[in-house]
Amino acid sequence: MTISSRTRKNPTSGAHTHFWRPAVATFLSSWAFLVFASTAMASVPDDTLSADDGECLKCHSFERLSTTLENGETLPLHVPGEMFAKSVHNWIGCTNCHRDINLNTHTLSTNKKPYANERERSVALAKICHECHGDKSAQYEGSIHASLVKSGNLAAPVCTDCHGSHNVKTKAAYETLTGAPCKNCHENIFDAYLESMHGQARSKLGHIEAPICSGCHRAHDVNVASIEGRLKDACLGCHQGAELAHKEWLPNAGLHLQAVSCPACHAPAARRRVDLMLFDSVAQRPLSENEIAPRLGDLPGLRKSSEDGLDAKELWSLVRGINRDGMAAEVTLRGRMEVATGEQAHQMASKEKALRDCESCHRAGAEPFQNVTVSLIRADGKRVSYDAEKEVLSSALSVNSVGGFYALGGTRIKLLDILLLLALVGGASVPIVHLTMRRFFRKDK
Amino acid sequence: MKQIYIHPLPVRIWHWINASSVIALILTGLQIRYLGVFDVMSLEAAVTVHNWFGFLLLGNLLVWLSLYLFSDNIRIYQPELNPKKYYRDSFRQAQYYGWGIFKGARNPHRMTAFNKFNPLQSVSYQIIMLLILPIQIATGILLWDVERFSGIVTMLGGVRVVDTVHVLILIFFTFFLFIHVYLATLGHTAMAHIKAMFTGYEEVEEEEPAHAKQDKDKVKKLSIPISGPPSPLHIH
Repeated sequence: MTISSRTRKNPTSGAHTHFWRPAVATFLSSWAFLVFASTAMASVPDDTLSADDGECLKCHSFERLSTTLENGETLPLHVPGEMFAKSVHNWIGCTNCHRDINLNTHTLSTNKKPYANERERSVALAKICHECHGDKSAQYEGSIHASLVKSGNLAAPVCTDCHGSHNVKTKAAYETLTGAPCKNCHENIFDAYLESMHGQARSKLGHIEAPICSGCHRAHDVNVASIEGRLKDACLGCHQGAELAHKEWLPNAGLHLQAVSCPACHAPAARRRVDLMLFDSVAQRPLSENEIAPRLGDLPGLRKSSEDGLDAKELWSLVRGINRDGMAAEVTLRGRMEVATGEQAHQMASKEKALRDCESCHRAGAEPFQNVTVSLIRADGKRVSYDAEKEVLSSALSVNSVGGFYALGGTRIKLLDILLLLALVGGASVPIVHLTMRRFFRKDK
Repeated sequence: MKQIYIHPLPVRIWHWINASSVIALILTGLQIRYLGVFDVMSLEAAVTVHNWFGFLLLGNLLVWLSLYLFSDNIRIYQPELNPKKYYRDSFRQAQYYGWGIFKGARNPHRMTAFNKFNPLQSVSYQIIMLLILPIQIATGILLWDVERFSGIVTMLGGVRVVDTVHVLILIFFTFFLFIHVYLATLGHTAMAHIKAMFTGYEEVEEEEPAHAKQDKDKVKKLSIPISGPPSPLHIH
């Protein structure tokens, strides 16, 4: 680390801490800030810090420097100067982000933190990022992470959880196998990804164009890839010829690509299931729990029923109940074949290993139809699934409740099988009985 | 017994195309639906064959519509619009099949070239040709390319609804085929009607000349191209 010539002092070498010393003006107006920023960028080398930052680091370079928050949490106040000097934000300086610091009264004893806990502080400080990174911040607001934060989830990330606070790096640094921050929370899924064709392409073959987390889930407007065909869009974004390639051999290819998620065939080791999502067929989007809860009134009942798995009648009543209560939307169940877990969704294999045989699905008792879930979107954007009995796909009631999902052979209605059997038996019996009676009466004569 | 030329060649060709299509469609349909229960052919092959025969049946239906519905020939199916007589004859025909035939009664229907269907056949074939078969072909076309017709499929309640209707009609045709073939054996010999569908000639009991002459005149008016014998009505 080097400090610019404006100070000539190594902040880490200072033996004294001057908490009273004011720093540069923290009241810079935004235009002045921009002038400052552009000047700083032009004049300060990449790994240098200003003299004013050096003043801050005189104290904050001490590793044991910390404070106690209202809830008793210890907030570390140590800033590794060398790390900050190497970050892309080194030219901004301390006070442009830490505007809550009043430098005139900034002492260990007087500068009480206005946050109840560290999490609250992180969420508050993340808003500062918005001022320069408005576009990314807006994208983040539409993400599942932001929804989780708003719903009070303490584990959901804000800016600094992924980018760090004083060691913010360039964009490219986060798009590497070692730098991807996603693995900190989604370790199992990341491990599955590493073993997948995509992960292997990066780690072993060095193909940096192979997707990493953000390639499918996006970097800031992070969302579940399997909702609303996003996954298909994500896959086809790179595999542009895939749609045509499927049409060459797969009958009704478009329908398959719509009703079957890519991993259902391309992660052959995964366990498949059918998910029936409550869907607003007018607005063409999944239905959220918020929309139906006031009308349905028995979501707890739904949860209770789903403990044993929703049966065909319960599912039929659910759809009927939602539509009956004056819902503007026409609610249907949109069926889709998916893999059972998020971890399995990342176990993508090479295309040679993908399932190609129709019999995997289009026969009675096929594995994908043994697991059925009913899902809806929670207020925080996450999908919540309830178990359903596999018979919901073969019940006569499914004509009404699951009208939009049918896989030839695999989900056939049992009542129709019985009717066919009756037709065969009846069709054969009528001639036999009639013929027998004719012969009987002939003898009788 | 006399022989009358009752099934002109185009009608016979049409019938056997229809018969082979329906049988192929039922068999491939069952293979598609019951893959794993029996595996005569792969699903892909069954779907391909099913689609081809489906379109063949559609073409055949269009031929029938052009030959019968849009011409005077429909009178073969409706010789006279007399509901009272029709119901009375239907009852007699049903009574014959249900009881009279056992007692050696005579078939109440007199087959002629113009009036070849008994009332029960007449109503059955009209319901099949004008209602059931068009619905079956229409649902089949929707299922042939669900994505292309997704708007209509959704409007009808979804792919499962369309498929259920398609399968219900498959079940009906499966049952109908047994009955149809059995009734075809109820001529004066077991093979009489079946043979007639190949040769065109039916053997019927002698009729009074006046009646035969009347039919001959009516047949002459028909626009069905008749090949084979120079005259549509031959008395041997």
